[in-house]
Amino acid sequence: MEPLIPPALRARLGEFRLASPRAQGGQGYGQHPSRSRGSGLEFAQYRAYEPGDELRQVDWKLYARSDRFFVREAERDSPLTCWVLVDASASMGQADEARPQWTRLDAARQLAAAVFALALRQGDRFGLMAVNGGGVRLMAAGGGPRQRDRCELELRALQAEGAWPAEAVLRPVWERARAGDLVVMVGDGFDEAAIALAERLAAARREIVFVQLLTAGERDFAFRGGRRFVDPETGASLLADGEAARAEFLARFAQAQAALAARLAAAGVRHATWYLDEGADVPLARLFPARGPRAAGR
Amino acid sequence: MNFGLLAPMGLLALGALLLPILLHLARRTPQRRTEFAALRWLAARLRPRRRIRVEEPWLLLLRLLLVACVALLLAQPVWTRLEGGRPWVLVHPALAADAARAAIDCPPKDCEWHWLSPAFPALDEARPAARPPVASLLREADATLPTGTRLQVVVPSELEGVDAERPRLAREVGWKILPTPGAATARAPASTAFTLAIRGAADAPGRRYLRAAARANGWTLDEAGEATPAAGVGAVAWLDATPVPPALLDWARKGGTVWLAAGADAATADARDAWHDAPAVWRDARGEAVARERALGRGRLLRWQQALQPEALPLLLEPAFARGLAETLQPPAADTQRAPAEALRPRLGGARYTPPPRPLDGWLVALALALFAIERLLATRRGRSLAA
Repeated sequence: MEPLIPPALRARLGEFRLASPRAQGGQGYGQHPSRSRGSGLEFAQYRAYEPGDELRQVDWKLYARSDRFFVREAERDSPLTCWVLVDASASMGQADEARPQWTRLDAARQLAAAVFALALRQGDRFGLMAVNGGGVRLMAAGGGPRQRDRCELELRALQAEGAWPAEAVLRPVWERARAGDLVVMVGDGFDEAAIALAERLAAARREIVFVQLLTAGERDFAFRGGRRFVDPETGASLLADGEAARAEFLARFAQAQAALAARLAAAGVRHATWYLDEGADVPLARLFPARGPRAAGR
Repeated sequence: MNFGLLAPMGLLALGALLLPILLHLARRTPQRRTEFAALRWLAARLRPRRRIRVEEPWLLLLRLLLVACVALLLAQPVWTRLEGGRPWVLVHPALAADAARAAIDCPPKDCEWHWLSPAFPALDEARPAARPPVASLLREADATLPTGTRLQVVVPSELEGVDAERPRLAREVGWKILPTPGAATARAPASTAFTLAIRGAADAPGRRYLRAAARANGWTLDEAGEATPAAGVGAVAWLDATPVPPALLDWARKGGTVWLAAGADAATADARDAWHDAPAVWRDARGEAVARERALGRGRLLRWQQALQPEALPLLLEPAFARGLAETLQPPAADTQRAPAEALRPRLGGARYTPPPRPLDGWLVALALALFAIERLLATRRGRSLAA
């Protein structure tokens, strides 16, 4: 069984770091900066003593120098819960003509496994949610290598089938992904319901990151000769000649993608496009750089 | 080099050239099934019908060549070689090879040297038998060699085995005569000494005529011997009606001549009809057979067709009888096959033979097979979607 993360990607995992600007404190010790103030290791500020503060937080050396009482505040680090929401509808089973064994679902699996490895390394908790025609398959969040193995087994068992289900089926998503969690959504962005879910999750204070998987065919439309194009989700088909339909498709598709990007940006969803002929490091470097600008609101 | 077709109607098969062209014409696009999720942004745009296009022109060309090859094979192409190679020099076996090479200055790389002998062996091989049929060989060489090949013949001063006229050939032949002193064999003189033995009754009717003719020819007569003639007798005339004794027949088988009377049978086994088909060796002025001849072992049997009496054979009373007898019993030894070489210089005027055309089938079959192999390789390569 081949590893989900190829060795080249695994060697580069140190360049990435999962981070969420909305991380909340109060749930234990972790490596993420949070807004909550309290005892911790890193110094944040001094403030005046108010009745009710704990005496051990008073900085006595400062009192000795200034004869007034000041409380030393530190940043409280807290853990992050990271969810990977995989779109496993039928459109994810499409692959490029040049590489028919590498479907969008295979790429999504690889990205999910990379995110889990990152979370494991950072000591965060992680879980998996997969949505396909059969409903939502859930792996509850947890930490540690056993959780990673459970998630990996679940990833391997995924099949791309069916269409995006109705809203009622998606209730477990809302129940599990709490406010402040990081949700990495991996899909192709063609389902309107999926985009709506992302928008609503973002509005409900979940940190959403959307990785859009597109094939090289959708980017270049390099089909030649007459084809019968078939939509795997709806089953609709269309007769077209590759060269003749190219320009128009590229124009309309670019327009639609621009509209999608604008919509996601307006909703506050961070968005990266990943083409199937690139490596997984491209979206990871875009979204989770290790030395990138720190999240706002620290 | 002349190319031709033995069966030009085979070229009608070139009509099959149309088939690969029709197959390779670009058809309505074959509509390969392609999974495509972004269908809603795709519009149905079919390629506009343009002018006639062929798919895979190189494969089409290969197939056209193959069909043309097969059609040409059906038409049976042949080629004839007209211009010749190196000049030929034919040497009569009566001459020595070195003398011939010295006489004609043509090194082996410029000329082909052969013996003037059946199958024209090369000059380097052993000298063949000394009496080749010269005229026949000259005609054969003239007919089989290509038209442009120069021919030279080296002959001694006297030739044997020639025809009665100068050979007529279709090309100019260089006729080189090497004088060979003392090579002319002495002609065997025609000897006139002949002994005729007559056996039979003393009053046999033909005896006096045979005796008279023998005396006229100057022959020796042997009339009173035994049945088996003594040595030196040329011919025995048997005038009796009794069958010929077997001893005489044995003598005839060894090379003698026995002349039977009209009613005589050679042996009891011979039927009278056997003489009906025997060739006539002596005909009179009117063309009727006077005597017929049959071979017997190494000798021969002759038989008068009529009784030896003037009423039946008026020729007996004419002077031509003695001459005819002499000619029959003593064929002239004139050697009409010997002549001086100068008199036999070939002349032009013979029929020109074109060499038989050689078929090109082998080459064409090899070419067709090679083309077929390449076409199969190209048609079944991995990149091609329809391996047909």
